[in-house]
Amino acid sequence: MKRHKPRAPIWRGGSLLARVSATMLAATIAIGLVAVALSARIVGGQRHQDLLRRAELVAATQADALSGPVWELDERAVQGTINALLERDAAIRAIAVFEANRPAPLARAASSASSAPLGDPADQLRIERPIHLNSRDGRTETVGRLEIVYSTAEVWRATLDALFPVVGLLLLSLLAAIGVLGLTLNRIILRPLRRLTQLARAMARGDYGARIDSARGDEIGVLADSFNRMAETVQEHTQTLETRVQERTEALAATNRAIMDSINYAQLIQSSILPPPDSLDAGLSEHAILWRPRDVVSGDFYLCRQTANGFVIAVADCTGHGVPGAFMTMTASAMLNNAIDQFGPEDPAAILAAVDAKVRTTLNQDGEARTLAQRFDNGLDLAICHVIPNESRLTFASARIPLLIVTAEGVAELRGDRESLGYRRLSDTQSARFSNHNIPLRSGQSFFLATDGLTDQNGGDLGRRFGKQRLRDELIHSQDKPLDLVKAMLEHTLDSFQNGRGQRDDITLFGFRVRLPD
Amino acid sequence: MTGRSTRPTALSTAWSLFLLMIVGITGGSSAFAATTIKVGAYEFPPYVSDTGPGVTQSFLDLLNANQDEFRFEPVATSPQRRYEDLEQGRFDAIAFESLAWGWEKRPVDATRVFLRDAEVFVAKAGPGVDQSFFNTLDGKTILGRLGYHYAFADFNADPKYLESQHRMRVTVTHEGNVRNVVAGRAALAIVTRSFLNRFLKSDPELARKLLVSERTDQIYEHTILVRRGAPVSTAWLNGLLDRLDAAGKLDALWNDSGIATR
Repeated sequence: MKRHKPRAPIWRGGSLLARVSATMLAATIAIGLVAVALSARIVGGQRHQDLLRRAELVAATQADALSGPVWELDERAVQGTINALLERDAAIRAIAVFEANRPAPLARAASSASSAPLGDPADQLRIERPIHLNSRDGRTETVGRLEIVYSTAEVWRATLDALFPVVGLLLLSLLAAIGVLGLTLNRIILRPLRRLTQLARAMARGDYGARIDSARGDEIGVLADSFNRMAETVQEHTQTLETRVQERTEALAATNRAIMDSINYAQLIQSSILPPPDSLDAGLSEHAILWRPRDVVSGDFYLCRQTANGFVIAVADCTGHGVPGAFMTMTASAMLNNAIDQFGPEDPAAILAAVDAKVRTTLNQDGEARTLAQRFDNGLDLAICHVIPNESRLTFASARIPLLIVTAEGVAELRGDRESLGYRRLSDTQSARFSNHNIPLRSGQSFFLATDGLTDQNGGDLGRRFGKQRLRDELIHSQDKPLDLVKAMLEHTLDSFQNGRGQRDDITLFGFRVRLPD
Repeated sequence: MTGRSTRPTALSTAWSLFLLMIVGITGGSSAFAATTIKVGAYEFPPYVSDTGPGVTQSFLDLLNANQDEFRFEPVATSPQRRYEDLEQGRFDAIAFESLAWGWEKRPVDATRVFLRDAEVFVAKAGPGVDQSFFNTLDGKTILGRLGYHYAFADFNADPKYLESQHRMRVTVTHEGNVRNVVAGRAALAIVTRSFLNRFLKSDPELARKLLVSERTDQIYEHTILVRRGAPVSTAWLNGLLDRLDAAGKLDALWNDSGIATR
């Protein structure tokens, strides 16, 4: 199942333009705020001085204007004058005119804006001015006092008014700068970067011939040149690699072909040691062989030899599979035939013992391993049935391969000895001892020898082993069926069970029925 | 022994007489120094005027010239503040005044009347404007002087009263009032007749544009008001006035000032 690699998005975590703009915006706002605050302080001070000068001037002029009315004690004129002044100057909160010798004010006026008596003194500017009268003889006489309370709120408003254009220009400049920067950044950097990203994605798709124009001499141009050089290098290396891979693939294919030719030929050789199907027809009423090498050649083999009074059937499962297993089958087959020739078929247990010894001797697996090569430990499982139809007897001896006997009563398993053959033992005292099992033959019996490749095959929905019970279930109804059909059904069941899973080991099942003399 | 004892006694007596003579001379000279009498003076042409010398100054000079006991000096005040100024001792007396002008309940005494003057109305001359114009003041706007007491207003000088009850507007300038009447800004102005005579004499063109009422609002009976407790008394002043009157010096002053009524 092909897995798709996640595609790298072009925009990841926001664009460069947005980040640069945000950084510039933040920096400009911070600097702008500091500048505005500083300007506000300076302008505020200037406006405060302006207000102070204005208040002094107003107080001086009004004091001069009020000198006559105060001298005349013309309360109406004084009141009218300060009312007019209060109306004209919005910054004035209160005015009071005192006659020189009277504690109570001659006239006073307060702005409607100051509902409180006079508000916070911190926000006020109090100006006091003596009212002088120049008499006819040139003397100057102080006839009263003028008090004007100014609100400094005007200072803040005037400061804001003065700063408003500055802030506006600052914002406009900021927006213009961001706009110009954005356009410039997009044209100079982002567009080439997008082009580079597209080319990188094209390269990721395998299009190594894509290039970017690199006429510019700045960093982007250098980056484009570097990218083009990298693309050229990648393209050259890819072509080189593809060429090499192709060459190696062709070489490997040739080698593989040679190997497979060799293995196929080995398979022919291995097949030659297996008895031809028709060689079994004489002594057996029926037989069926399920022989499934995991690879081309198998680590399993079976044997069927005619003897003087019957025949010998053997099934072997050698160490490994494939070529190593095939080598072992050739060795074990030779050893088995040699042992049968040497000891005769009557004592299968002795044959097993002989094969055990011969394999160990041949493979130098006697005693403790002394070299690296000797550390490999190889052997085989082997089951031998010596069938004597005339005596209605079957002698069975086995190293780890059971004999399944199927009758109308069910499936009986005759287990062999639990020792394998040929594996390294430290001394002769540890040599295996095998036993023969005599089984009387009668009609209706079916015998099956199977290597563990069949029961150990995994499959099903959970990947579990095929198992002995499933094999028994398949064979229990085989009594009335031809063994070819039983084999076909078993193959079908096995294929369904595997459900496309790979074969784990070589599988061999040898089933036979003995033709008994009438 | 007697002679020896008498001689020091005679010397002592002579020395004592010398000292007494010195003290007498010193004390005598301080007793003859003129006491300053501060005389309040407010804008009241032609007696006190901001535009030129007033009759009051000439009158005080006349008083000073005809006696050595007191030295009369003018002190500026205003019509509204003259009462407090006098009560607070900023001046001791005020000339060309009348008890009817708000002094009734104040601690002052008045001399005899030494001059009579009058207040008259002026209106803008024009066709159909004659003396009958002054028969009634109802519905006519009148310009007057702040702090002055007018007879047609029952000598009430409150500007609010004058404005609300008599359609009167008080200012601080007599000349301005006259010119405003000519300019048509008010129907009437009420001014001191002696001032008006001098003013129109100096500006004949203006005089032709005005009609002066034969009706007088009040006849001034000028006295000198003296603060009770002041160094000078009304009796002393009356005596001085009598002497000046008898010598014809007062009439001479009024004639010289252009305010003679006889």
